[in-house]
Amino acid sequence: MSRNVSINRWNIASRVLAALVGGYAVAYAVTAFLAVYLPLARPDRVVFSSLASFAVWTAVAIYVFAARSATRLWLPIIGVTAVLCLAAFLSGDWRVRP
Amino acid sequence: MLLLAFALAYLGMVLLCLTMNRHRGVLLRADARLPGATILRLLAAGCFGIALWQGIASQGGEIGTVVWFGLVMLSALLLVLLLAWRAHWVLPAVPVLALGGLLQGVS
Amino acid sequence: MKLRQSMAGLHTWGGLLPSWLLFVIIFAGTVACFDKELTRWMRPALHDGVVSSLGADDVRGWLQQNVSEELHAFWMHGPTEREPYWRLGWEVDATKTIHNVAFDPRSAQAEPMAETVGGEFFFKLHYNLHAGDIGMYIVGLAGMFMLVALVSGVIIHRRIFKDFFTLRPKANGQRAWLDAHNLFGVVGFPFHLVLAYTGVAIFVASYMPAAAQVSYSGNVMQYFGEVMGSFEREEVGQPPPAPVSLDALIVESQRQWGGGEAGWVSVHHPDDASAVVDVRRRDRSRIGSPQDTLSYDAGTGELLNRQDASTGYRAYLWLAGLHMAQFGGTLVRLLYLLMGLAGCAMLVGGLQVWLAKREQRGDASVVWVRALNASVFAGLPLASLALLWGNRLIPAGFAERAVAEGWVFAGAWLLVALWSVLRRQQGRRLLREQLLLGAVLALGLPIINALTSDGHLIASLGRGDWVLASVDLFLMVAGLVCAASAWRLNTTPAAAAARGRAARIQEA
Repeated sequence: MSRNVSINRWNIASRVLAALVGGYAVAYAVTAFLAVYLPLARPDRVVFSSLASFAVWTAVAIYVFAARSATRLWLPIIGVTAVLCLAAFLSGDWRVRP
Repeated sequence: MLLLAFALAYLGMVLLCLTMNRHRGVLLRADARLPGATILRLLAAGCFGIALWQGIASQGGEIGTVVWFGLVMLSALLLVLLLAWRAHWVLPAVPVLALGGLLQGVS
Repeated sequence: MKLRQSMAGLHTWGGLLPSWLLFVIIFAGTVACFDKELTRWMRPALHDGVVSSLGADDVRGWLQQNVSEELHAFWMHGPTEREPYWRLGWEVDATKTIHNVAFDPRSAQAEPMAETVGGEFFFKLHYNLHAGDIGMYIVGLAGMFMLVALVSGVIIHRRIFKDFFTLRPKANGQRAWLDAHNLFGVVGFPFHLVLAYTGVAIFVASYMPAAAQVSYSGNVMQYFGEVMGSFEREEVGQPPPAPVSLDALIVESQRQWGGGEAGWVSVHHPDDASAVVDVRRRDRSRIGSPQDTLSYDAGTGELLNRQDASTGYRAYLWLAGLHMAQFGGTLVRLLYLLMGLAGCAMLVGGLQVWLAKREQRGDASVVWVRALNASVFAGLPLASLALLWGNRLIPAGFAERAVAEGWVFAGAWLLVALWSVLRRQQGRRLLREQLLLGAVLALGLPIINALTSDGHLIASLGRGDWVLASVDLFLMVAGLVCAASAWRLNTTPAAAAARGRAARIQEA
């Protein structure tokens, strides 16, 4: 019984952390990615991708609590964050094109 | 202040409300005859549409739409509050609001 | 099924924990819909509705005579229909402190009015809780919680359309409160969603710096300059020539725009030869006014730059404008006020559902939650009323008058919180007494206003000054509603409980 409670507690802590930190990380990565790859002028890329970030964060928070496994949900979060951040920050001079 | 648009939005909400048996029994006698639910919904949509047109005509496209959203939400709130506490005021409120709107339009 | 359960957990706790904070934010924002009207009420010098005849150069002259430090920038705004007086603000070089002064419109010379926090107090409480940058981040996080709670609330609601018109005040506690929570949440959903999203979007540059970091390599000045299309030039370290007339620049700007009004006029590093005057256009006919600022050389009056904002920035301005409701006049502000009250009602209803559920289980710890409810839901409106009392009773010449008003607000709130905690076991009696206090405070304000200024209700109604009169009238209505609720709570114990709570949030 007490084992179940502590598992449950970890489960919730993991999800809360994923929603707050993971959600922000994914939103950050998506924003950075869109700010580089949207086919728009630089100021517009930056503003539109930033404005969309809150929708991404909200969606991740919902996903985190809807996911079946409290541990495996981290996989897509870390994966998406890593891939998009790398794609954004390693795009060389292209990311600062006007 | 667009009272007529508010009256129309309220009328639209009343029509939608009448399509539901739960509320219809409260508002009308059992033997009252009404058109079918689809027609009521179409009429309601028409009311909302005219209200939107009025909002846009008086405030312009952008602001008129925002005002319309506000009026529709508030008309629903008014209707539900009346339904809960003063159900017999729900139907008389339609002509009262419409009359007020017309007077406002004339003056 | 599983999805609904997990979403229900998310909605319950993700909504409950920030709900007191969200109440503060939403209530303050609701009051801030009429912040400028409240400011007029709080400044007796504005009561007779005189419009200032000063010019921008008079205001600058006052600044030059009274402030000797080197300035980083100063900015001023001329009289408008809602604010018929000149406002001036400045920032001393190498400090981050900002000073503000408002000038008496009745005086032919620039003469500051008595200090007050004004209606802006609620605006600031709304966006940063008077806690600077940290407060701004806290409010942003609360906004994100609200977005998540709204979305998860839609997912768990089984019958959004079937129960759309349903409110059963006579049902058992939990059912009735759930109906109320659903009603204000579902009917107001478009408003709550849009306001939560546009609210967090206003400080997007602080909350989500990712895009600027990657696309501008973190160069914030370049980022803002390019996005807003604004103009900036470096200081040259030489004394400035004699400045050109600001009033002339305003007239010139109006000519450039082909009519239209000037809004903020700002001068950057005025004590340097590189000083720049920005004249911003004021346009209330659109949701997101385009802000085509004109920049002039402060010495020669030469036009240096015409702001050409990017499409993205225009979209941002539109969203921010939708949140701030500075368009569409009193009608739009009234709609926002009522929908804001609906948001407050939604929060109170949701908390009552949570409480009713736990009370049925005989959970003893709910008294503490009730105490917290009473300290916030009653405490904030009561403290707001106390602030207005402080505004009227603190003498005009009092040093640091605005700070004193802030302390009246904070002190009153602390007292109500303490009172709520001490009386936590007698919830009904506490509520009734708080309603009575609210009635006394609200009904007393028009009287004290009449005693301490010339702008009393009969005078303002006699002049047809509905803006000023409506503040007094609103306070009277709120006071009467509180009194009636308290009275009902006394006479019909069971049925009146619902009414009292709903009315309580309408105080102030």
